[in-house]
Amino acid sequence: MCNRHKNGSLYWVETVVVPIVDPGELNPKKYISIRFDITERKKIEQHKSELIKQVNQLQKVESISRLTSGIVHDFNNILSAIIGYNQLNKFAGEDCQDETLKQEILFNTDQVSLASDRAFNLIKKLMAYSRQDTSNKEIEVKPTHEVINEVLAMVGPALTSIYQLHVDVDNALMIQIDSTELHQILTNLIVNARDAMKQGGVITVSLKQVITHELICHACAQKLEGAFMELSVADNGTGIEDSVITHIFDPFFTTKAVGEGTGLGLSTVSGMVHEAKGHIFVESKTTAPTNGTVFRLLFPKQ
Amino acid sequence: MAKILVIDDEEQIRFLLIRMLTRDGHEVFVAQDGLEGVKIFYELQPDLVITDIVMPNKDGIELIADFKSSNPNQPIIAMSGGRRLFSAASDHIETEITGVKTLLQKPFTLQQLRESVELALS
Repeated sequence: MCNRHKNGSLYWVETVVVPIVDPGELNPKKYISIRFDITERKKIEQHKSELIKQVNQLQKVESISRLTSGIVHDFNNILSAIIGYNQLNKFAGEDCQDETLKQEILFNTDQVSLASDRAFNLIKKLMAYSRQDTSNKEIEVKPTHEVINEVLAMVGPALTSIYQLHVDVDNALMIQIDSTELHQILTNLIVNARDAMKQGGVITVSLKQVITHELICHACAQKLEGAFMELSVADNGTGIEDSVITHIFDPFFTTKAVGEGTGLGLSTVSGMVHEAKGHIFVESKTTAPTNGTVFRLLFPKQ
Repeated sequence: MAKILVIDDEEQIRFLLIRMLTRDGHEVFVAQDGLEGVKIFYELQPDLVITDIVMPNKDGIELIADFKSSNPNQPIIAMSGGRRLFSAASDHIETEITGVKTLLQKPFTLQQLRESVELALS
């Protein structure tokens, strides 16, 4: 049972009721009630349950990452063969004396080449999720507010009049992240925000400094405490159920209809954010009037 | 042109490299795993070794260490389809096994292969 102290704080009690029965009697003469303050025990149990949740999440991320690495490795080998042999076919086509056959071969090899590029782009997203896309990579960091403005200039016109964009950005803050990746992250989150509000609504993009206490990253389960630069994208859409939030960063998880989403958007976002030493905390409510979702990307303060 | 030993457990990749490299006039020999690669390496003494990293029996890292201990100037190209493994391998190569000039990320194009071969042999 949860009670309240006179000072307003809450405490938990466990009550044991012992019946006192006189010898030879059937009915209790009286009852003794003993109450134990179990607030500390409750705290320990809650802490334990949070730890188990974190460990489960870490194990899940590790398993998916391992699976993804295996897929990436095998897929790149397969793609090597497709791209390489296609190139050889193209050379053969270029040497072909029959002009009609030559055009046919070159058209076909171009189509294979386009499909291979699409496959490689998909693999790059998986690499981003499993944070493999780091070798020899030079990152270009631009002032964060500039990247935000670029993204808004690009997606703004694509939003119909039923959507409003609010921007609240501290121009002095600069996140150490590749500007192309930040572009991709923001675009993904804004498009998701739009999709969560089919009837229209408000999308808010903000960049500010925050102090956090005991937040747990929804993607990697790491505990977040202290000062961070927070880039957030908020909507007042349908919201996401708690049971769904634990899966939204898994590759190929999607709530969108078949053909509308690959399920790689948020997993890619997660990979890129973590590559920049950031974390993600999701706040969501599914009941009106406070329904909506905020994706809070927390990056280390410089 | 150069005498090149290709070591990869994927048959299609071995044949692909044979075709690509022979187009440029190289003499190409292949091995399907690390153990066979070692055997052919000591028989042939190739000008260049192109080896996969993730392979059964003896992986690319062990192979490179082996070849380098035999000939510190042996030109080697290391290739892999997995970047995490590749990244770990490249650290390993840079810190412990000097002389590997080229890392080739799968999937690669003929042009990238050519550039890698030129760099490794230069």
